[in-house]
Amino acid sequence: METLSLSGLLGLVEMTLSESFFDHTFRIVAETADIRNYKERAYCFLKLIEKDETGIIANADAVIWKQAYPQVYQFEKQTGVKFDKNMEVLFEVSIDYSPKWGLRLNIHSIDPAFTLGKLELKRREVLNTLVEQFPQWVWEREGVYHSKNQGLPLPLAIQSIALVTAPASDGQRDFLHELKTNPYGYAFEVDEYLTQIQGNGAEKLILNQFRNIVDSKKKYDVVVLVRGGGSQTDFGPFDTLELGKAIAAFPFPIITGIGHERNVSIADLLAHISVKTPTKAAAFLVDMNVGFESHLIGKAQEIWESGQYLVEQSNSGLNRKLLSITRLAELQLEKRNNKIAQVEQAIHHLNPLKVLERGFAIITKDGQRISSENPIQKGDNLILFTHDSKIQSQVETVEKLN
Amino acid sequence: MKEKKPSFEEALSQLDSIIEKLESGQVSMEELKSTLAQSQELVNYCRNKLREIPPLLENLKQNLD
Repeated sequence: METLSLSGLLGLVEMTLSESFFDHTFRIVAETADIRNYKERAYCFLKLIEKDETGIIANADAVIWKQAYPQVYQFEKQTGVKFDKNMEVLFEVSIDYSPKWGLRLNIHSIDPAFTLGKLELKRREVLNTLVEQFPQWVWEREGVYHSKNQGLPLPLAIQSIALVTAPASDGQRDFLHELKTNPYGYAFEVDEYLTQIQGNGAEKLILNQFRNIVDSKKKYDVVVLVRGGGSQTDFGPFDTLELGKAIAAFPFPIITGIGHERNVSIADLLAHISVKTPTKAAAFLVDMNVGFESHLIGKAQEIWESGQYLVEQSNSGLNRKLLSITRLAELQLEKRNNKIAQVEQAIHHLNPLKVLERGFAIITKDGQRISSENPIQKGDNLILFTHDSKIQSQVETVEKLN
Repeated sequence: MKEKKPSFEEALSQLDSIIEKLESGQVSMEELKSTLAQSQELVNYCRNKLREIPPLLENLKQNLD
């Protein structure tokens, strides 16, 4: 048997493999591991593995060279997840072998659709679990997910906000800037609950801050959960069972502005309001206050109109009453005037001078009126008063009439 | 003791009572005199009350703009 050098033997392997696999590419599904990603140099070393219930059953080194490296960005953009270890991914690979470096799978492309499908499947599993295990907080109707949080009443005007976001992040800056520079001059009281919101452990840290909000005993109008800037990857914490559950059951309305361009996360689905970005979350709150102010102006306008109407009505009512009183008083006066006029008329008619004018005369004897006690007798000296004369006379005869 | 001022509505109700009384015709001359004086006083009171409202409405309107 011929003795070969190692390089000689491996050279034979290289030749054999090259003959068998030259210019061949394969589509394989494998799990990623041991990723060493050199972004600046645009290449990435990793391991691809396959597991079953017994453990790893296949394992190969792999590399993404510069020509294929844009696929990593493309994958992250389309799936919204960071190209990282422990992911099941569909690759197109060719087999490279060199005596010096051994066997390595050269990755030519990464299929985001496969991973998206897997993620969606996982997402649906989480949603189904929420619906089945926590029906008091999450339920589904005609394909739309609803949460208890969505049923909480939003205050008419927003003043007090608990902000959950990453410290010194674009999300934090954008949200606060939009609130502070609102053109209406509305003032907001913002308590910041800052935490890591992406990467390993982010879910637990977010949940801790949620607990801190409740423990603060403050009555916040809303809780705002925003994530902004940075890459369009690593939205994993927003698709977890625990965060979904916490959002659905949270005692204050939650507004999310997570910034996921492609998908709606479980956090978005179960939050009271979901908008795309931190800026839009702040704009939404400002708009709510604009709506409230318009509502107030409308009410004030109604009050003003009602007030005007009431004053006009009251004035005319008052005038009507005054008019009635004046007329009735005039009537009363007129009645009395008429009465007086009647009396005057009667008196006028009964005036003795008026009687004398009609040809009558008053006769006196010894300065006394004629009566049965003072009768007229022959020879009596009488004085007769007519309307214009006083006549002295002597009675010659007295003749009784009947 | 200072007499308690009637409310606007109480003053209106008193005016209504005066009208009823005058309509019944059961008013002596002395009463007519005092009733007219009272009516004038009530009407002035109500008008003064009403005059307090337009400036408030004007304020409200200014705040609408």
